[in-house]
Amino acid sequence: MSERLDDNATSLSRHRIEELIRVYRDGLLEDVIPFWINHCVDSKHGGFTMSLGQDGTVIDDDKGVWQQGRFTWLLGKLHNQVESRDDWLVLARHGIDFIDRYCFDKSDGRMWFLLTRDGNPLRKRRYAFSESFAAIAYGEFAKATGSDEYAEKARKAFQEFIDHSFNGKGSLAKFTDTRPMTAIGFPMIAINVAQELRESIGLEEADRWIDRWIERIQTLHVKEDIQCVMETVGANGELLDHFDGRTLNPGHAIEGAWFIMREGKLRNDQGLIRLGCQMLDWMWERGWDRDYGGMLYFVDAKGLPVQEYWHDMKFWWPQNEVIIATLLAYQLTGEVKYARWHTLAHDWAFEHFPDAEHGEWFGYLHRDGRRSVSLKGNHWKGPFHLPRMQLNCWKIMEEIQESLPGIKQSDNH
Amino acid sequence: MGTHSNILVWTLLFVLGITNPIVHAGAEDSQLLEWSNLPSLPAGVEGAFIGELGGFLVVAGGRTVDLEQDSANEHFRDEILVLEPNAEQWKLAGHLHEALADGAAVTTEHGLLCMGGRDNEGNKAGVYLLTWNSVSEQIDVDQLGDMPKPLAMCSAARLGDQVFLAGCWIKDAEQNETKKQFLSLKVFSFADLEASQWQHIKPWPGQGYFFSALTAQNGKLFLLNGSSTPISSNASQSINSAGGSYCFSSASQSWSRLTDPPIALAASSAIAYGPSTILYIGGIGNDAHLGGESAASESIISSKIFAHETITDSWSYQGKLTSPIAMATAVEWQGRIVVAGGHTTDNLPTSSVAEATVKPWQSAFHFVDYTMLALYLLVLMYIGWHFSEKGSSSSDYMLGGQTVPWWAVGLSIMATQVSSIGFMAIPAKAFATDWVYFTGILTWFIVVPIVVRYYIPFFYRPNVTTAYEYLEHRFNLAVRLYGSLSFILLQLGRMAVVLYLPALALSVVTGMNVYASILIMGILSTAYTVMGGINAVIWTDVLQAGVLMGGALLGMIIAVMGLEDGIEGFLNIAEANNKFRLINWDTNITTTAIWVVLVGNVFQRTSDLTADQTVVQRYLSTKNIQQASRALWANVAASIPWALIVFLFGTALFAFFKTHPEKLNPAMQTDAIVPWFVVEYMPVGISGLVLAALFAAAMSSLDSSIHSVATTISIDFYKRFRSDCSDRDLLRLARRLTGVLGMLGTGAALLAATYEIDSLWDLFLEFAGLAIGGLAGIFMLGIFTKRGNSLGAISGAIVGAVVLYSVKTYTHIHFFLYPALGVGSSFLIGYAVSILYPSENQSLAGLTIHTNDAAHDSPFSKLE
Repeated sequence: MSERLDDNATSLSRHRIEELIRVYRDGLLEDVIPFWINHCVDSKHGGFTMSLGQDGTVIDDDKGVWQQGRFTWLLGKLHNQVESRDDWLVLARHGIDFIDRYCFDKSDGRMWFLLTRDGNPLRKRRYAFSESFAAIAYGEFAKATGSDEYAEKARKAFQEFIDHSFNGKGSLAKFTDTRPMTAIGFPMIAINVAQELRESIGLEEADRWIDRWIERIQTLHVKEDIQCVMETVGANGELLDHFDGRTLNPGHAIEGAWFIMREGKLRNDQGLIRLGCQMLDWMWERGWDRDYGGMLYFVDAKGLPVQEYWHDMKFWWPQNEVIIATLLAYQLTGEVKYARWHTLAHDWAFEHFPDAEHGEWFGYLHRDGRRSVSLKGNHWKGPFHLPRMQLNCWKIMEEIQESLPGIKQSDNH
Repeated sequence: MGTHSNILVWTLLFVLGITNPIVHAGAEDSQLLEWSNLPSLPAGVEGAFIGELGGFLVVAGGRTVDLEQDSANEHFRDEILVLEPNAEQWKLAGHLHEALADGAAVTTEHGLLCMGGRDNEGNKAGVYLLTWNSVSEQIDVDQLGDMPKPLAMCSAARLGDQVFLAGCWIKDAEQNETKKQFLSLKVFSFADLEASQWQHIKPWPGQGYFFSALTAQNGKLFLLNGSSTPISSNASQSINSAGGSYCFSSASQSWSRLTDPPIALAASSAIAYGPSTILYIGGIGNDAHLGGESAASESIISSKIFAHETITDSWSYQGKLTSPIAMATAVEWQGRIVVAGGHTTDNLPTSSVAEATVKPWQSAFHFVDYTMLALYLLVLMYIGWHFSEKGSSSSDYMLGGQTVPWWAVGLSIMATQVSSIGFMAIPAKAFATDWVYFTGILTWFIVVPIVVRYYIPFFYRPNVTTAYEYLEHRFNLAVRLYGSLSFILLQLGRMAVVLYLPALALSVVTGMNVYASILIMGILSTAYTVMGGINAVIWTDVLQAGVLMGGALLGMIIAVMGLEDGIEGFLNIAEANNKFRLINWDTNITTTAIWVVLVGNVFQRTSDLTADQTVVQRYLSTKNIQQASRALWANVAASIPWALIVFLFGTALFAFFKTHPEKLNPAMQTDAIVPWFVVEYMPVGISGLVLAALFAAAMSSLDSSIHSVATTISIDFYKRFRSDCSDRDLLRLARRLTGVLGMLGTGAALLAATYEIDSLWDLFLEFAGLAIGGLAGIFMLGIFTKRGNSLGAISGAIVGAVVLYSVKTYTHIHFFLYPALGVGSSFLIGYAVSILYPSENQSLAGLTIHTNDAAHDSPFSKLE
């Protein structure tokens, strides 16, 4: 049955699956990873300079701490999951060393946000995402090297991240307490970090944490009545009818959706898969640009004008997250709708973002797909969302491919 | 000689062995289909969305009547039931988003599209896509964009990349105000499906319909009747089903009126069947013909099946269902017609699901027919054997010692050019359309004088055997080899096709084994060609020309005699249906406009008579130039009556089947109309003889191909590079090559019959066609210009092929113009290149019309 369907292009055809495996795998290993390795490694001061122009030249040599952790994580991940290549491990150590040496504020143990090229701190931010990315970097490195020391560092960074984000320790409010708000980013990233650490260092309490944060998202952010996943809600999950409360970030919510689907897949929990798909369904409806294609950046929950004027730009990462989420949803549910969405999202992104000349992707396009800026990296865009999409989609596609002939062949007509 | 007799005996034994005639009883029965039951639905359902989805038969939604309560109590359903092939029972595989009935469903490559429908509250505009989920093994339902208006009791069909929906919008139920709706939805690519938008199209001219039957067939949409008022399921009301039937062409976006079904019905189900037939099944009406007791007041449900022939626009009765049914859906499932759901005589929804199989049909091809066919083949073999005794030089084998009479050569050229495909396709064209191609015969009078005056003098030279030899004298060796190589390639490709296609057609109508037909035709024609050489080819062609003419003439006469008013009736029917239209005054180059036909024919014929060795070799077999010219005129004298006869035959077939639509086999391809008629409706014995004409057409093309290719290889390659070879060697080589090529062609045809390599074949023929397309232009360049040189000739041939390819790929120009473009562009480009890059002076004496230094009236004095 399944074979017949797959062959007549009702969903993803065999041919397309094979082609996309090539697109994701070769894109990752022959384009994106080499691009960054060739251009971002700072052999003089250590770490990575991620602000790159179109051809990979460094256009700002300050170092974002997020990016140090993210790239180090990716290198460790590739070493652990794809092939245990020494060059990846050597570079991961290069990243770890820089993080160890320069990225922590020795005064309070928290991490900086931005450093000069030689490691002097420029900025610290209120929230603790630097810690979250450092945690997963330490985790993969610990797994690659079998080192307990780095596993411990990973746990510590993770603890710091959750303490700071959820336990209110050292919270530096930007707003007054008049209207307390909570954002989906913290529980979402926490789920992801816990999932990563469970895989890399076998973090014992991961399941417990993940349950708690999924519940938090479900109770506070997932709004059945208006079929929406809210980016920001009041402290008790109330809708805030103001710019901040109404602004949705569909790509972000969909990223959270696939973290939850992935958890459902791992635990074989249909409830979690349904929740993830539900989030994807709603936010696809709200975020997919029916006029030009691609995911919009911000939309208003009530369809009112959005405050941020870059709301209708096409950033690279929401596309990456949607491509993973739709493919995973298709794999888990078999619903042809998701194959269709994946095809739409993939085709639009691959038509507009890749740089045919120098490789990698541009990061910021106008709504209609015209390029806005030519840079390849800055303090936010680095080797993370795109290679993570390539790696995940490559592996999911391979699983789908393997499942094709053998599911059920009761009727061979 | 001994070996040749052996070949003869051996092949005859072989032929008799494999034909092994079987006596068929020609049974006639109006029941086209045999009905059997598939597993019943769990409950009676009518007005459901029914279609095929990923191999399953799907019945979604619909309406049941609760028997426990008042029978007026309709119950709308949302269950989606599926039946797996060979399963014993239906299983529940999901739910629609809402309970619906009386919508329309169409199977697309993306899933089952369900449109509109109604429930207790009224009509709906929703559109859903049902897809099979291989993970959950359930049906997923996705909502697509709404239709512009809520519609129920509508019908839908798929044509090209669009889904069409015909229905009636109830604007005001109280006032009985309705508006016709004809909508289309483009079935976008898989990903963009949700962006699909409905479009309004000009609706049919007549009144608004509920429960009409819409179906696509032969590239058009057919809207067959309907009811002008909504039909409620339980009322024994009078049905206003007196509407009309219409045909919609999406190319011209226009409607035309059709002959109405024999009985006025609504809520019938229609399904395309075979290449040009629509089956019209069941329905509800109040026609007295349905045999109700209370005439015209109460509606009656029909069990009848009618077939609408879309080419002749005629209806025929094709038997009955096992029980009457209306509001059912007929779909194709597992290659069969399935009728599911619906309303039956007791005014209740039915749960039974009927499946039709085509009744096995017995060919009327008789033992006597086989005997006639075998006798004919025997005569052919005798001719080959007869000529194997005569002469033993290569010239005897290739040119018949240049003693063949002109009239025989003329008939032979005609028979060679009539392939078996032509014998079937031209009458089929006249049957399906009209006589616009007939005007092509006029071009004989343009082309033949030119060929006689300007070409034959250059071909007809002492010791010249192939047309391509001229190219070496005029240009150089490369041009000659290009010419003969492209000829060889094209003929190699054709050999399989000329055997395979008629064998296929014969097997359809006689039940004769395809392989047997191929082997008989292939082996016999190879055998007599090897034995008798060109003499056998020509004289069997003469016989074949006679049989072809006689066969088509007889066919025409018998078809006309089968009409009620004979010739008068024939003329009336043909005239009334505009079948004699000769000229299409269109100016569009994508149509069969008169000038397209004429220009196309001029170049096609020029190519055939000048660049095609099978023809050139024929007239080189005559005694002298005068005889060669006469042979060409004899060919014209045979070809014109032949064209007249086949076109008349086709039109006569139209009249015959228009009068007797029940005699048309709905499953048959239009191109098989000739063999079908011959086998089924011509007298026993005559059928055999006329089918022999079909064999004849195939064999006369094959023998020419293998013989001319063998000749070309022997002369243009072997002898050209080994001029010291003895004539004995050359003869032996030519004979062997003939045998090998015959086997090769037969083998290729067998391969084509075994594996689906049509597309590969098409590609090969297309390639070869491109290579030879401009060859006639090169001959023109040589004969008519002094400046033309070898560089120009080669560039012309190659660029001409590229031009031809581009035209074929990127434009919609009618294929009739391809020869003109190929020849024209080769000539012009060749000439231009020759002017730009003039070559060293080369003696052109006696090679162009300008340099035939002898007086014009006797250009050959120097040579002779």
